[in-house]
Amino acid sequence: MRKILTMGAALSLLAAPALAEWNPDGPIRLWIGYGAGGGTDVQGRTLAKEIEALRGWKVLPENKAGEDGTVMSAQLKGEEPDGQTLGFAITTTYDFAPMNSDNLSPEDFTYVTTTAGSQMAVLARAESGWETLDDLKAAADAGEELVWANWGTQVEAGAEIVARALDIDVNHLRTKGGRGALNALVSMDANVGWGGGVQKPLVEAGELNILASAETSPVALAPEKPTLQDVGIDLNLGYQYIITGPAGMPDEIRDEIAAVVAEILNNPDSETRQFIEKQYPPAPILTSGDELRSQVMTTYEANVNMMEALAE
Amino acid sequence: MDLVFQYIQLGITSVFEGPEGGLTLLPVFMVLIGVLTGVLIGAIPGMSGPFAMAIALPILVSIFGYGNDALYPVLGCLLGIMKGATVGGAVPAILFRTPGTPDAFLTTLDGYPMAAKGHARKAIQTAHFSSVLGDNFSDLALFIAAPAIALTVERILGLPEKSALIILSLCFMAAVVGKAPLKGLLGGLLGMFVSLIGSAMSGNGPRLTMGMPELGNGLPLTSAVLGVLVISEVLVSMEDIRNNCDDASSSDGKRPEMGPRLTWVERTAMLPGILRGASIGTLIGSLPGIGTTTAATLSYDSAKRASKTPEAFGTGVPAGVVATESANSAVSGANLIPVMSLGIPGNSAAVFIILAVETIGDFAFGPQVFQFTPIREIEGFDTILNAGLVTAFGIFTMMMIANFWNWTFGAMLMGVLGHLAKIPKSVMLPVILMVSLTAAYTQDGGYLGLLTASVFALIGYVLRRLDVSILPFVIGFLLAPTLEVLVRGAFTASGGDPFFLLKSPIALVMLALSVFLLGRMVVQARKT
Repeated sequence: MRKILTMGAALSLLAAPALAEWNPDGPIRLWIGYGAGGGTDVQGRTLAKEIEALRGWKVLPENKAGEDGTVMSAQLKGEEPDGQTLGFAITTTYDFAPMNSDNLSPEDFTYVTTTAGSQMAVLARAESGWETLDDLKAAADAGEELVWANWGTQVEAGAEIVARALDIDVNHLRTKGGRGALNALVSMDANVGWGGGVQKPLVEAGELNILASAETSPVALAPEKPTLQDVGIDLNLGYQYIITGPAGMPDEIRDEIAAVVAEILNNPDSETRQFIEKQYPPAPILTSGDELRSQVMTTYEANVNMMEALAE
Repeated sequence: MDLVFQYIQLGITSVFEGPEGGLTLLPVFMVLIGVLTGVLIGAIPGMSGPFAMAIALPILVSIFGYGNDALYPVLGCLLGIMKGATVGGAVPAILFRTPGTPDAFLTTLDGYPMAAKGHARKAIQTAHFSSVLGDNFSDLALFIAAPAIALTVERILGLPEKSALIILSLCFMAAVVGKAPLKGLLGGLLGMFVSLIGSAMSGNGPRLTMGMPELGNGLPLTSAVLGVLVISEVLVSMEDIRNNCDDASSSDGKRPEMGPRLTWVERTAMLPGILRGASIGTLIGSLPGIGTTTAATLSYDSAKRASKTPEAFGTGVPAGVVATESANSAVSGANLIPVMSLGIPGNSAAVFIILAVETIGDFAFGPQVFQFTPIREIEGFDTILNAGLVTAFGIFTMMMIANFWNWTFGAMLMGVLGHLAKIPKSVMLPVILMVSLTAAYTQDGGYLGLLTASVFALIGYVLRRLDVSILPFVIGFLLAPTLEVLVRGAFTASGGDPFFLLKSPIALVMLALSVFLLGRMVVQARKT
């Protein structure tokens, strides 16, 4: 009996795409929550191009940058949940940023799918000679003024947590997106900063050093460098790139869009996949549907607790 | 030094390299279209280069899109228009005593008498020769100065100093633009105020959006600039036509005798004059806000003073045409020095170059462009280099191409332009209005774009009617976000020190200069 049920379920799964084939009625607007030229932007635009090529859906990317993606999500919230207005940002936009807004809550959105995971790391200019967090602490103890480049409230809180754990003082510099943080480092407006993945070319060119990974495992560019957790700092700033829609999107639309994205990202020849493999190694991360939704909700709770702990 | 040449070479080839690595002549062709359009537009009285650039930008973007591939064709066309317009304006000034662009006004002083004496061809060729040569001279200054300034700024100036530099630029601009500096200053402050709408980078949500989440990212840039610069001008001109204040033309429109060509001996004799005019124009152009008309006036005066026969000026001497045309054209290249090295626009043409760069692709002006990152190839992966720097040299290359077209086709076109310079304003204005409103609608999110353009047109109209110059408003509007990021950064990076702007001697000097300029403006306003 059980076997028959499973088989039936498997069959219906196989048949599902053919039956529930959803097609948009007109172009899909893909609102990118960060500025032009950053990691989110490049990924979103390549993906839009490939969805168009695969399905013939017209996808129009548009940048709506600002406030950790919430400038975009605040507008997305009020749109029709018909799958024709989608947001592309990072999980932080939904599992952290709503905390600072009276008008936004993680409940306002339908979570479609993630695409890739960050390579979050602590960076410093190579010419500073710092290789580890200990070097950073030594420099601070020797009297050097530390300015930490952050692109949002969450990472700024993270920088503060690191500073407190190392028992050093840092001043914070707020930049526009991850690219802004890199520019601040290169132009010496800051001497330490976060990088979520865009740092790759500069690290490889030997301009920047990775001091530590802020993920749960070492970052691909510097596998020998420890994570923050390895050195006793309980902090994970890793995030994923995520496609969302307004709350109330029918499941078949949500799953169809997720399936299209999965089909593209599972294809080794896909340009988006190749970009992800290079910038956000090792491979795309595809969490979707209800699993993704509960991930966002759980992390939101955890983040609220973290900020409360920090405020004490 | 090898590295510099490597980047220059990459920049040049990047212009001719298509997306698949093959040869493409599209940017070259677009530059040509731009130059020809520029010469034509420049020759139509009431139209100017920035005007044409404003209208061309949305059209170009809708043709080529927002991708990185679109940058060269769009920017090439805009640069072409900018350069073409500087030469075109002289033609009607010489033939009909109606300057095609405002900066060609002084060209009428000697150009028209020359034509009246039967030397129209000579006058036009003189204008072309000195104009293009002046332009080339200032391009050379740009190529050398922009990277040098950018590198110096990045090495020496920190956040407080960069903040002070922008404050100084804004004060300077208000002080030199227009007849009433205090009004300019107020206009600038108003521009800065409207740009406060949108993101505050504080993490506490956008501000001043009046409950409209669409404004969370600030006002749509292109619509706002189109409204305040272009549509408001259309409104004012329409009103003038209706009130019959519009002085149609001070000549009878008859085409004067063309006369003989300009000889090479005559051209050689002009070179010292061109060099003086071009130097003045370049110097003026590299300072934000002063503009072409001032450069032409200064150059004309200095040429007159240096001349052995100053009394002949105004009766039709080639030296007068040389002085004004070489200077006003030299402004255009030099104006890009603050743009490319610091991201500070100095005139309306530069505003549209910046707008184009911000709208398209991921290239952005600023000191980071001129980092000479060593070029390294990693096996099986990628080449590491500063792509921004390659683009910068690509832009320089397109400017050189524009100069080439200006030398060749520009000269030919100028010879036959006389007939075209008579399109009446009553035909031009509705076309411009329609194109700009369509552009605002398509490029900036539908009705929000239209609404923004209309509100800004109204602001521009009121400012113009109150004799407040528009440029400080626009530049205040464009620069305020940069200034805010810098000031906010300087403050937090100092650890919340309330005197963060006054701690560095360089910032202190620049702020003192700003205060001096402000004081001077007040004193001047009191006197008049």
